[in-house]
Amino acid sequence: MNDGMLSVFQQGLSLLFSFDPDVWAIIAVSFSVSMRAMALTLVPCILMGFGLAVTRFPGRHAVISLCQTLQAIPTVVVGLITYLLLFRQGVLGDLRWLFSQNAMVMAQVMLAAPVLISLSYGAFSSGDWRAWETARTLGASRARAFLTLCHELRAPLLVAIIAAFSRIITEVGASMLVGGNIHNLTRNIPTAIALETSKGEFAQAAALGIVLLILALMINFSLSSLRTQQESLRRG
Amino acid sequence: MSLVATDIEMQFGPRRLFGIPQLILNRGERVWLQGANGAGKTTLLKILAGLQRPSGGRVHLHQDNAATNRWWRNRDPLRGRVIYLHQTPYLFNGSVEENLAYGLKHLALTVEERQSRVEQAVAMARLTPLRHQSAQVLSGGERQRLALARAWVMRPHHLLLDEPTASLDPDSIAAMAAMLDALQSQGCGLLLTSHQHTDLTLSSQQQWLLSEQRLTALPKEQRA
Amino acid sequence: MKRLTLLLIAGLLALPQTVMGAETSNIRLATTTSTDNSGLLAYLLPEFESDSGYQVQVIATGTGKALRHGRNGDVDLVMTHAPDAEAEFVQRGYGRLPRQLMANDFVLLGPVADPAGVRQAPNVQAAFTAIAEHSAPFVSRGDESGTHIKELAIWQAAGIQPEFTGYAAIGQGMGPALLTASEMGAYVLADRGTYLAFKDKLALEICLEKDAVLLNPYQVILISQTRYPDLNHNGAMVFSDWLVSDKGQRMIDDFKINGERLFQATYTPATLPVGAQ
Repeated sequence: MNDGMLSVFQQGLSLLFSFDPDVWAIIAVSFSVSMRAMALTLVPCILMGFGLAVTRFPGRHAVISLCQTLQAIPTVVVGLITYLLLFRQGVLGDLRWLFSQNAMVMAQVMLAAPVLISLSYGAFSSGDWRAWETARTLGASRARAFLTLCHELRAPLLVAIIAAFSRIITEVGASMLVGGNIHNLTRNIPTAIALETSKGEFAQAAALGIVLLILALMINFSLSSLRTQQESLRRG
Repeated sequence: MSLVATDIEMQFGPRRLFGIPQLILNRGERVWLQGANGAGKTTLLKILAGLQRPSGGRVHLHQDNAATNRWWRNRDPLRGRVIYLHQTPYLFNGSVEENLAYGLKHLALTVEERQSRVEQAVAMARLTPLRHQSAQVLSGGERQRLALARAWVMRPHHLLLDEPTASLDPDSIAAMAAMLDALQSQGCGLLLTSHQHTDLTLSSQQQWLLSEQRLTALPKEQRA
Repeated sequence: MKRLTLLLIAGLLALPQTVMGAETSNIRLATTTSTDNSGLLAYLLPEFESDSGYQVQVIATGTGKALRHGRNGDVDLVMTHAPDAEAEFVQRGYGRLPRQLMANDFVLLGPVADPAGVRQAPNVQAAFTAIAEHSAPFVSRGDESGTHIKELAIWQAAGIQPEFTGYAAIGQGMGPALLTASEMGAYVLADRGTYLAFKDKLALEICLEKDAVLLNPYQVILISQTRYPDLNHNGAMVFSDWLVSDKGQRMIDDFKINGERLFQATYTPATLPVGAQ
């Protein structure tokens, strides 16, 4: 390598801030796919986490352990499962979704769900049950009491959401396999980084890496500001 | 209208907590519930408030006028009418006033009525200077007063208080006693547990004892 | 039940986007990384798209995987470089109308010091034999790509099982294989296009080239109409025709990286390859 680390990152930064349309198209794919995956998983998974925390049924511990284990499943395995579902002869082959954004959304839904379920389960089961009882006894319907509880537990729930979003916005294996890394259609930040690296275009790869880094920083800052806000409320 | 429980029993696995053939809490009546720790006082209150399902039996409001009992509004008849107060109250994130107004959203009230109830409650609970503060910064006595005021604005038929005066300063106890008196005179039925005899238990018409899995009403001569 | 599930999932997920496969203005091409990474497609496709009005979606992977996508009916046509695998693909009835589109060649790269003395070898089999005898480091793609298939064919022709200590199958694309070989001071078989694109990042030199065995022909193959009638066969046909047209062939010949020509257009209408309909 002739380029030093520093100059590669300088090139990356200038690519990013010169608003290279290719780079921004890739960023747009990443966000639209991952946002849709989050939109689809958020409510059902938080409800499931809640259900696991408050109900008792046979096999409940098995479900919890399964979700906690699936948090660590390699993304490429989920990609493979999605591929086997979506390819022509697969169960869902008739949808013709392979190599489309829908396929990526589907894989990311499967990746985000266990993270959201097990972390929101953790939030609800360690949360203060008096909040639910107080809301209910003051006349709240189950739905409103649930929303109140979510509001009270917004910090740990936000951690769950951010963890799930981080997992899907950074994953490369599943997106590559079921999206096909098609230019302007299914090329997202991680698959583009993989591609540019394999082509030896380190500047482009670094620019995209920096985008991911900035994104992660923004998410973490907003999280920590929310936390300090809550702590200052508590301290007064 | 009375709060009626019939044949309720509570069982935790093999352990039977209590069985009560019948319990009636009349409106406008104050009852002091006594019993040793672990006798199941808290559980009984939660069952009466509809927060916990008993192992058997049922709890309902005995209506004087059955016509007002509209089935589509009454899937959960106890909710908002029989209010349970925790020993250490839970306050929602938000200001004192937001906490006060929480339950009012579930009642069909005019904006003016809502506002006037909040004003009254803030004054009675002596929280006027703190009304826009975050509820999380209140002291123990202030928290307890806010929780009672939050129930008070709902004009409940019955109010169930779990050790409301444990570790409270005399000022707070006096404020709470005033609020309970007001509630009782409006026809609210009160059931409260307490280890000590306080201003709050002073004017109770009945004393109940929960022990050895049974609930008994103490005759006058045995009362504390 | 299956249809119900399909409907449900489709309704849930197909939010702002149309289902891409059903659109007739899109053509799906599965091809090898060498055509995409070298920039050839980025150079050809805009011209084709403005000529024809079609949009080409490129899925760049190894030859083996590209042919599998074709066999499954997940793409509309393939462009690959593994003659034997392609012949089988056509014979089994998955593909039709294979056309010799273009060729480039493989080169054998190695460290400047040339520890196995490959430069003196008369042909590529002898060169591979020398590498194996010296147990010199050798990086193999190991990913069933066209390049990997070619490499295995050469080992076989030389009568060698590639199991010597220096042999490292890394299971990655051409770019990473080149960088790995450069770091390890290893020999590596590479297509010329990718090598030229990476040239100034590598401490490797061409040790052997221009052997007839090292010719690397690319074919464009359509997918069976009888097996998968709902693919975009018209679009695929138009694209294939355009690639072998005078204009397409001329553009392939004109494509250069750093002043060097990468692909040689090879289509001759007279010679119909095996399996043509």
